[in-house]
Amino acid sequence: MSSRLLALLLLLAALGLRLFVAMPAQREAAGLGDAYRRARDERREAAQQLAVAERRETRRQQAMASILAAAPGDADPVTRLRRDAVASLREAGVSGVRLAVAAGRAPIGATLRLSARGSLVDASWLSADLTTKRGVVLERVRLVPRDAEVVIDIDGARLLGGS
Amino acid sequence: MDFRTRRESRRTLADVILVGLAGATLLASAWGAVRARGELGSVRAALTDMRSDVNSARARLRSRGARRLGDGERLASRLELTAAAPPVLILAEITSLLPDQVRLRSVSLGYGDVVAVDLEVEARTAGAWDEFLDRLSGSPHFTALRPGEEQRDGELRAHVSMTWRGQGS
Repeated sequence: MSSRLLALLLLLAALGLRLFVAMPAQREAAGLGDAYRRARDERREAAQQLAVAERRETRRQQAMASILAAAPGDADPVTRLRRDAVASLREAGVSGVRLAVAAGRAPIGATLRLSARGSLVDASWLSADLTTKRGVVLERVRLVPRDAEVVIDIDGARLLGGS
Repeated sequence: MDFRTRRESRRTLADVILVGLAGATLLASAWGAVRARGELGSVRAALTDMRSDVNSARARLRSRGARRLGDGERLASRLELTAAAPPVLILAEITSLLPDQVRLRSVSLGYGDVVAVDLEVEARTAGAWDEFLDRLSGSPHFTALRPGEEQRDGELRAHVSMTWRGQGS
């Protein structure tokens, strides 16, 4: 075999390695790199969702602890909730009020159902006051615009011993 | 005179250099191929690990989502959501997404395992309604968007349900 033929064969082998081994591997690695980045983004998103779910679970556990700590010796939860609801309605300055308070089953002390009409600000204030200041746990809230005002319906409950 | 010996010697040197260069090229190419295959293997392994992590995280999310809450836990969930997702906050988010030509006819919020949001909407044009739906589906605060029945008689009246996702807190 002549030296030039040998050199040509070696160059052809080098070209073959480059074309049929190295370049396909680089192309595939680039494609997998894109898949890797997508998977990394998915993992980040899933981790964020998990973190949110875990924080929520922690808060729920804390809420569960407060439910278990609900004082069973609450003498008249219905009257207390009714009085608080009336005070809240008065402070909110809403009109067209309908209110029903009934006894609940432990750990719920009393349930509340109310409807009122007022400005959006007043209705928002009412729901915020009932939940933050009066300890009402929401079940359902419905807001319906009526002329320049809104009608707000609130279904909720308060735990035994709740403020 | 005989110059054959000198000519053969020159050819031999040139040939050696040529073959040497070709051999070096082959070696470099082989080294490049080995490295490319090695990198491919690393990327494959990393991708497999990453996918495994993603699947594991998704499975944990699914198991959390699929778990049914008992009565006590549901009450705890309502208690937690009442504090974390007050009506004012959700209403503010909804109104910030409303196009000019869309009006809310009613907003209902149901507190349970999650906060279920139901809207009845009136839109002057179908385009405005579509835009509102696009904004809702693009909002990070809502998920599980389910457009309901639409009535198109002059103005468009429609219903849409969704779930409050929260504010990432």
